[in-house]
Amino acid sequence: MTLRHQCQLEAQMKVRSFFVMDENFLLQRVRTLRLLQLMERHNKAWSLYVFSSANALKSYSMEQLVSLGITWVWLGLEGMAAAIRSCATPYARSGSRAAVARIRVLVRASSAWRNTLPKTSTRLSNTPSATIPIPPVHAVHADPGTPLYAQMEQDGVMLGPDAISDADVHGQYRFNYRHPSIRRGPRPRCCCGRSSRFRRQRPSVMRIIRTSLAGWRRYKNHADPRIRDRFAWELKGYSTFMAGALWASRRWFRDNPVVAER
Amino acid sequence: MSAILRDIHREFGLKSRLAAPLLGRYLLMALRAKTSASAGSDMGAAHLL
Repeated sequence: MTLRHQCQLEAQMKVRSFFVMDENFLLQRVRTLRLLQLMERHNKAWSLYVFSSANALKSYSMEQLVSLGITWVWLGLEGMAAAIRSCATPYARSGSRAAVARIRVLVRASSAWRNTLPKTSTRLSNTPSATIPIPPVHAVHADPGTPLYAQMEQDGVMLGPDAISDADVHGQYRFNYRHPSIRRGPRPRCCCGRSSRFRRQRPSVMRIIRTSLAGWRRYKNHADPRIRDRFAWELKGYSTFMAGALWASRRWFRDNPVVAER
Repeated sequence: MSAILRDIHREFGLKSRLAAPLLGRYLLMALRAKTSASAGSDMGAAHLL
């Protein structure tokens, strides 16, 4: 896609955020930096949602990430338990970098889960990422149309559509497949993130609000008007709807003072 | 949440102080209604979080 196409989409659909469905987007440094150059030249304050590895993310400076408008990063952790452990350090480092740049990071672990024990998820939850202000959301599922899904369907482990709610498409309540180490039904506490990590960190949406607000505070007086404009746009509705959502959430969690007060 | 809400009030002033309880009450009612409606299913309110 060229910048011209993106500009057309922006005008036709009246959008300014784009989900880049190219998993190698940040790996293609020359192309990405060229895009940044063009965005600066044409005064485009877009928000980009990208897939990335920890190493690709840390190959850019914070100023470059912010100027590019990298707002959301889907950080992939795939492999067996040992690979997950080896990812922990660059993941935490890139997470810290993202936290400084006020980028929201979603951590996605997929194929690893099928062949690993539930304790792996506890290990992942206890990586240093759990202490940085980004929401590690473990989306554990195979998407229809992917080779992983086809393989799992062939193995006869996928559950039918009647067993999974559309609202649970990301598998936060229940895996969409039969895990060899997990009984049928809701995910065990160690996997669903509602145990100790939840008590420490609050719901993901609340952490997203905090990250966005911190981004606004950090960059609202930035020298580049493009960056100021993007952060202002991202905070639209925070003074009304989000304030109301927080007020309601505080009431909702009043029996959990740790979460309600933080 | 209280801390984030205080930050929002500090940032946006009167607008958010007025909006928070008004919209918040509506959202809380909607959330409770949704939870009651889904109480029969085994999904409960888990997906709302």
